[in-house]
Amino acid sequence: MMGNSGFLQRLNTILWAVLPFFLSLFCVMLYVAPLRLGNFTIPMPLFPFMAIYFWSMTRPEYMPYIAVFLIGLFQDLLTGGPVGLWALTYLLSVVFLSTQIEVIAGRGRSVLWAGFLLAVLIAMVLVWVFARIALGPDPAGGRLGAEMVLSLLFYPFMGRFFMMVQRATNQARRLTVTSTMVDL
Amino acid sequence: MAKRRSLGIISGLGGPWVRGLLIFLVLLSIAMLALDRARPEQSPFFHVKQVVADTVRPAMTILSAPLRTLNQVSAAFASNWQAAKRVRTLEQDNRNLMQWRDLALALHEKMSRYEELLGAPKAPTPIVITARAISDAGGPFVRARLVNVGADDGVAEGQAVLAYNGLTGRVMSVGRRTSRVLLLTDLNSRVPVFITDIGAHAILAGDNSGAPRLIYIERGKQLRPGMRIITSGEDGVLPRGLAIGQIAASRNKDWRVNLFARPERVDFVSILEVAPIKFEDSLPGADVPVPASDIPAEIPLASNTTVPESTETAASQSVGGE
Repeated sequence: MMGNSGFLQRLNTILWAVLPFFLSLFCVMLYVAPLRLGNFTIPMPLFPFMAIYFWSMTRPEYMPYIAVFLIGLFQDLLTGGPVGLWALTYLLSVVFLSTQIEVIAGRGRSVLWAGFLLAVLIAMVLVWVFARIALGPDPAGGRLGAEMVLSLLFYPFMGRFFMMVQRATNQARRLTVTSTMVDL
Repeated sequence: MAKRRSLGIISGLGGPWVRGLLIFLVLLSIAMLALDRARPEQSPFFHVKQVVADTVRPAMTILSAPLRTLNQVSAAFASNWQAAKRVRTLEQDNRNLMQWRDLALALHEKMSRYEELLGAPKAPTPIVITARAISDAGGPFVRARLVNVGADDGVAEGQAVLAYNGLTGRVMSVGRRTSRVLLLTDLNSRVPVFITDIGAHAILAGDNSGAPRLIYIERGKQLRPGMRIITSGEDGVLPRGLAIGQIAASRNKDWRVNLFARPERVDFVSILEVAPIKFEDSLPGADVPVPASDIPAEIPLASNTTVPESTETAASQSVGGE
């Protein structure tokens, strides 16, 4: 009986741990969803990178390199663009974020948002350089700029949503730990 | 603060395994990027991309539903903007279209009689597959759409994709229940075209901008803004005669084409399931130019009226069906 309960608790912990990864995959699908206003196609904010950034800064253990790579790869395959482009961009961006984690994390929302400004700028420059190498001259500078601006505008809302998910995850973990201790 | 994976050159580092994994993933990404630089059809990941698209189709369909409602609301708002003026324009268009319809019916009847006299074989009637875009698959670097029909619905690679007022692209890859449509504006799109007004051949080349370029224009032909562009069918893939657009005003002889089917408006599309029409170069008069100025002479158009874009497209699409 106890063993069964322990298994369920472990499963619960694992499910919460992989939630950020699957949420990021959902963000990729949201990124490619068709959105138009009137007769204009609206570029989508870079939702997947928002998720990657948020968890890299708050709970890095939930966003390991392999997850970052898979999210980028999924985006590459879904968009039909050069495979490896976003995977490489996200990986290198996260490597950069690793160096800034002590500066940004745990210092409030405004610092987190300012950090995102820097992170998304670096990601866009990287992807532009890689795309230029892979696709030729000026692949999509204007659209990238629009996506960057929209990402900055949307990040506070998405960050708040991710924060809610994060709190739920923490709560679930605490409950799991408490109930395990009671069982013991 | 959580100590986690990181590079070995900074503090708070992950272990050697983590560093090794990171280096491996970076190298793998670079290798894939190097392999995937070829044209989309030659990419080693060509089929993998379509399998992924097929797999996420149900999720994308659900996800695009609320966005579609938002799109429709915004389109309705845009449509109602200056409604009275638009109604007047539409009434004028409608009057012009009635005249075009009468002309088309008369020409169709005449053409049928000529074909009967010459014993010409009937061209196959194209089967139209209606599809809906479920994603703007492409992001900033690829101009493509993922549509909700695939091989199970009769879609095959290379088929022409039409929006309501002209050619918008061709089917690049086909999964069981989804297909990827490469738009005319994409960097990899090359379509042989025919400039009807002067009887010149050229290639329409996308460059990820809104208006694709005309390249390899036949020598000795003078282009002018406003000339009509249709598919020439010389690639053996797309049928001849599908309306594409009009030549835009040019600076420095950089001729570009304003597409009838604006890529940002592509939502519902028609995929033409038709064998490409083969025509022989030796046929006399196969490429005889059809000056636009000749056509209105036979049409009793009201004075001070111009042939609307949609009218021209409709007329040329009927040519494409022949």
